[in-house]
Amino acid sequence: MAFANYNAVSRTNALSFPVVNVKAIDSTGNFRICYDEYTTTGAESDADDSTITFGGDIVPAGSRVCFAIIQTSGTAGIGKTANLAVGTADIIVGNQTLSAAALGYSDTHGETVDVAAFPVLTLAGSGTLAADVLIKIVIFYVID
Amino acid sequence: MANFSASAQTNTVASPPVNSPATSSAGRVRVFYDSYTVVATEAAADTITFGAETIPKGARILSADVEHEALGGGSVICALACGGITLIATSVDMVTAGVDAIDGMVAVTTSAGYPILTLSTRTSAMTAAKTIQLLITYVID
Repeated sequence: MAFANYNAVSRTNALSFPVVNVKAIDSTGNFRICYDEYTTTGAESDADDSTITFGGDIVPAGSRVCFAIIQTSGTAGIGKTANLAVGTADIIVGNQTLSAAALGYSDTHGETVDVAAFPVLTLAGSGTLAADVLIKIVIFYVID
Repeated sequence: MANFSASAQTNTVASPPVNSPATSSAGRVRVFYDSYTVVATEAAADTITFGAETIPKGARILSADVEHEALGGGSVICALACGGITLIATSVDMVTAGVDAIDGMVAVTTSAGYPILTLSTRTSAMTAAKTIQLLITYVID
């Protein structure tokens, strides 16, 4: 029985003539991380679109964010959720729940960062966060 | 709108800035892999040590996956630790094949060490020739 094969973008580039070089963020690049943690104070509220900014070094423009993990140590806010983005690259868009101690994962895998940016958590829902809840994030990205 | 800054971000915008270690920012992920084949003489409280090299002190362990075949042994519950920190406090029962993973984000290692799997519970002899694989990702530089 005959079958057909179809090539994805990078595969097509590798087979083209002249060969189109494959970028490190697509192939054989090294993972780098951005890890940070934040302890809530009870002043954070979504009433004014509060954000929490993470990271010691900025995630460079052109990076591919492969995945991210977020962990909360306790109930940060009943009925409250949060989204995570690096610049215009949305990482968690399904509203990470803050209503219980939880471990969450990115909804997107492979978004590219167009402008260098720090990871930002944007709060949603009503009211303020509980105090003394530890929020940790780690982002895995590739740039070279 | 109000913005709040996490720890490393606070250090970055401080005056003078406080440098973030590679284990927090821009560090490269390293891989640690090893496998073990059951010999059937393993007993409760015994340990299985993995690795050709230790994971260094100060490493941030990002993930630890224990993939195991059906080990038999009645009931086989393990704990995984490395470099002074616990990675998996109580595993799933490894009687059936599966993968167990790290208990969320853990602290950096307090000493250099090999990953050690401790057989907390093993009610009867495990099945010889079954394998346990360990894959750890971590950052040190």
